[in-house]
Amino acid sequence: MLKLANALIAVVAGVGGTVVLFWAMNKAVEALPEVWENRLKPYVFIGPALIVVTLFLVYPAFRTIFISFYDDRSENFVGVDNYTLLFTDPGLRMAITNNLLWVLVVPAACVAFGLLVAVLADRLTARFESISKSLIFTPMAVSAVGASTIWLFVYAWRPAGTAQIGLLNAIWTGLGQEPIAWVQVSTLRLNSFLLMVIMIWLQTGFAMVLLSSAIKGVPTETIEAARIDGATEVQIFWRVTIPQIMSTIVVVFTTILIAVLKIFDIIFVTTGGNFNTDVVAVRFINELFQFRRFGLAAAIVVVLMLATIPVMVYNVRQFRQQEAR
Amino acid sequence: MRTGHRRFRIFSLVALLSLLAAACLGGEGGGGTADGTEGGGGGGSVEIMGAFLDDEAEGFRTALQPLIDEGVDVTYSPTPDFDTLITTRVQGGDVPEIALFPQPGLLLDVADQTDSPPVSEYLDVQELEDSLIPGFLDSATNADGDVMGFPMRMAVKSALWYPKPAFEDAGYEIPETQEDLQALEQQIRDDGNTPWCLGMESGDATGWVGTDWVEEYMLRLHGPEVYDQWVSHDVLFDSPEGRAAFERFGEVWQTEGNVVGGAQGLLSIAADASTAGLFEDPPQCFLHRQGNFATAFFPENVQENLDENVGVAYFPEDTSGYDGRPVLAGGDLALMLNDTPAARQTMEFLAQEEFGEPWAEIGGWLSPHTGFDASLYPTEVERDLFQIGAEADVLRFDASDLMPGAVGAGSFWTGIVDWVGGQSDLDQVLQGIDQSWPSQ
Repeated sequence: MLKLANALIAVVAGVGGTVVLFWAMNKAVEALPEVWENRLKPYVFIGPALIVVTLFLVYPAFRTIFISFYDDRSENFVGVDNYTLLFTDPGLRMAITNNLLWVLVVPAACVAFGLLVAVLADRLTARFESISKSLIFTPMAVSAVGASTIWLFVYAWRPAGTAQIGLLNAIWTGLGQEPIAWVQVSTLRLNSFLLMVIMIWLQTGFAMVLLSSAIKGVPTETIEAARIDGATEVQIFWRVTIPQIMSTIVVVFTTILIAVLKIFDIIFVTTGGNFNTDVVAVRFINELFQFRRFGLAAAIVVVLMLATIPVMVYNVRQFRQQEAR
Repeated sequence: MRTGHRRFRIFSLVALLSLLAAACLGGEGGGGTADGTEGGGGGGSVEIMGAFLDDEAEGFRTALQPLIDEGVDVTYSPTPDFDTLITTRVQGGDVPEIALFPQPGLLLDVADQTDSPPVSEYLDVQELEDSLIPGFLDSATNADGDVMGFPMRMAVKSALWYPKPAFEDAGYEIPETQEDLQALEQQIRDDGNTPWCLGMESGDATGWVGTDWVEEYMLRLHGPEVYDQWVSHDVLFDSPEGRAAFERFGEVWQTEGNVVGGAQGLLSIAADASTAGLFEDPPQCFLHRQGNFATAFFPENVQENLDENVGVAYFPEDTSGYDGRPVLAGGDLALMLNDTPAARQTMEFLAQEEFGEPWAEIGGWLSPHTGFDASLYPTEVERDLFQIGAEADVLRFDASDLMPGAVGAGSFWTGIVDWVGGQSDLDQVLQGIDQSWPSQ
């Protein structure tokens, strides 16, 4: 109760305080001569944000890079030892391989399913289109931790002979098989793929919404023209629609790609990185808080950051190009 | 359109900043409440920091009452984040007078970083050693041979639990040796029952139950000296000794029908939930090995009537292995960080054999002193648990708490999981753990 009141006061005071701050600074600048008002005004509004970003994002990033060249306790300089270990340690190599697997599968699957739903729903009546799209979109409202918990129930295992509470095992034992602890089966990376299903389930709605609006934006003249020229529906889809929504596809793909590079919660909740499902971000948390190897943990995030930045730059550029149209 | 866009941007910026401000304020609010529980510093006051909370904290405060009556202003401030908080406070130079460490490794680290005096400067170490369960002080002894702290509470890990009524009805006998235990497992299997309930699932800590098993066998097969060398990595995991301990644990879960749910069950059933099978009708299993804290995992109706429902015995010694009766344990160890007369008086108080008598009567606390009056414990189960500790010739701390974090809370856990889950064979697991041992 006290905590709730605390939070409430914090939110009210925080929001109110910030509004007052901006209002007061705005007033102060407005009191200046007009030349100076125009010169300073942008900085009044962007300044606090810049300071906050520098303090909480840029500085820690450089500090992390610095620490990644030091030992466990950040006391002695060790050169690139942490980076060497990063690529030779079997556990970390496993995590990197799994991340690559996620990157290969999840964004592509989300775009493919999102596109499929968007195209098919486009052909339904308006009522059914909105119903089906809402259904697909609902998982977006569930947090990754919540979704993982839900899917853990789907994959749940109970000893043979007792009631199977997991959907998958209920079906499986219904077919006369012995129950299987699905998240433990690392043969052919089955468990990793089962965990990817969770991410795809979460993100398909996002892909669908953006792609659907892009499809609706495709000028009907182009499609009609193709039709008159005798193109089949499949040809229209691949040769007319897809090229025109390509920039949206790229933005959706890269946005999900960035989320997948940083994937953490699903694995942390379901397997904790066990059974060969470990990924880089989970490994980082373990190195930092369980093993207390600060240098190695820093090296992991630096590599993760380096992997994410190009994708992000590309993503922002694409988004700008799309906006510019 | 364009201005609308900009207005929206400004609005989102304002909203973002207000959220940030709120987050900062929220943090301050949290800090404020934490301050409230801390005792006022200065003068003759003593702040004790520890990791046990709620009922246990209340029990400890009751046990401190005689000292308070003597005029020492002593307060206990518990925190669920003990490891992080004590490290931060040491770095900030704001140490409590006394801290109670659940892990000896951290105690020695902190003692090294601060100028904590060795126990010999204010207590008779020999007398303390004679009074405590043999071996307990070893865990708080640093590389120079100085005893830096001492236990004020014991957790017994070598406990074998069984559902008393069903166990007796079936005509089973409590095993005296590991050979008896194996014979009993055979007997239970022959009766068409499953001997063990054994679950290791514990989120990102999955595997710790398995490490306890391996430690039990390490201690029973090879004795405390080899155990200590194993903890310091002078005896490797991939050594005949290490391998033997793993293999003995392997016999438990690999034997067909020996464990509820087999290997998959080991990794799927939660450590705390795995006790439930003992108390079903008919029982799913008849044996469970877990520390004294297992009582908290039992179903509520069992907890209410502990003595009627459950029995506890010593996880037996191995007659072909170490000649003696070792016990695997944990505990809270006291370290004096700030040498004041009042703090010394408190340490003397905590070190007494009689310390904790009122706490024992409340329940949930075991004394580390062999001569403690066991009749004070409210339940038979607690008396038995205390005796398991008190009758041991040698006590050893949980090895995974003593090893470096990358092993003790890392590769040792995951190694066990990979082995049981079939991701790696035993050779790969043992070599993998050895390789993960930090070189620095």
